[in-house]
Amino acid sequence: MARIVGNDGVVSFGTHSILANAWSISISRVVSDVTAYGDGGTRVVGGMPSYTGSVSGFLEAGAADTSPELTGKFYSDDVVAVTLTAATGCTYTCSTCHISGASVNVSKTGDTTISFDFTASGGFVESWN
Amino acid sequence: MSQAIKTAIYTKPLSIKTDPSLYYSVGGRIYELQGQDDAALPLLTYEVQSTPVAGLFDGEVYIKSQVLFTIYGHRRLGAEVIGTIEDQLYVLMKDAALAPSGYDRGVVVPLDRDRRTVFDEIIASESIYSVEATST
Repeated sequence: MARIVGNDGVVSFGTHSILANAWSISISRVVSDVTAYGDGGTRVVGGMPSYTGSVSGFLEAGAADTSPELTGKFYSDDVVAVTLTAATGCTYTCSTCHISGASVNVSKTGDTTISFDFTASGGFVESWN
Repeated sequence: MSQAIKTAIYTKPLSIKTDPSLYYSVGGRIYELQGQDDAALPLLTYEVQSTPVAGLFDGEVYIKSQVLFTIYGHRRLGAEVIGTIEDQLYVLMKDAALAPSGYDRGVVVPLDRDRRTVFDEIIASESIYSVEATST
């Protein structure tokens, strides 16, 4: 069993073109305090998990399918299929991710970067081997 | 154990010896730290410059070695010859998985390519790679 390193990662992000070199995913949930009289300590109950994340990398050009698609699709609640790979066979997938934000940065003397933020509808599926 | 990393780095170019290959281009002259005094050119040297160590709770050890490769060649043969050899080094090492004994693998990632220097009649090309591995 090999230890995973960042170099093993891969990103698939719907039809939005991005030459990615980083991804992240965060899971959060509301934890409600339901402590009552007589309890020996604090009691809590966890709520539904919420999955958010981001991918970042570089813009590309030179072919018909290299557009970042930051305009038209956003008017109709853009939903994309996202696959985040840590290593071969170790992935998080969600077919209904809503893009909550995107950022393009171009500077004359610097890099030309793009990043997407997304929130999953229904949660991610973890596959690990 | 760090010798295993050095051995794996040295062994990798030996996997392909026929033309075209890195090993063939440097005539098999691959040395640690520096070449022999009477060695012909071109030649390749490698140097493990640093190896930060991180101990893991299960007793294994994660390392990330920084390795400097230097290609030396005659200036009279032109800078392009060095560039061709550097390309072969890059293709061979980029994302390569070395097989150091006692480690799960050694993932090679290029960090800095083909930094040129000239002294006397020699052109040198320095490239830096990282090798990530975890002891087994």
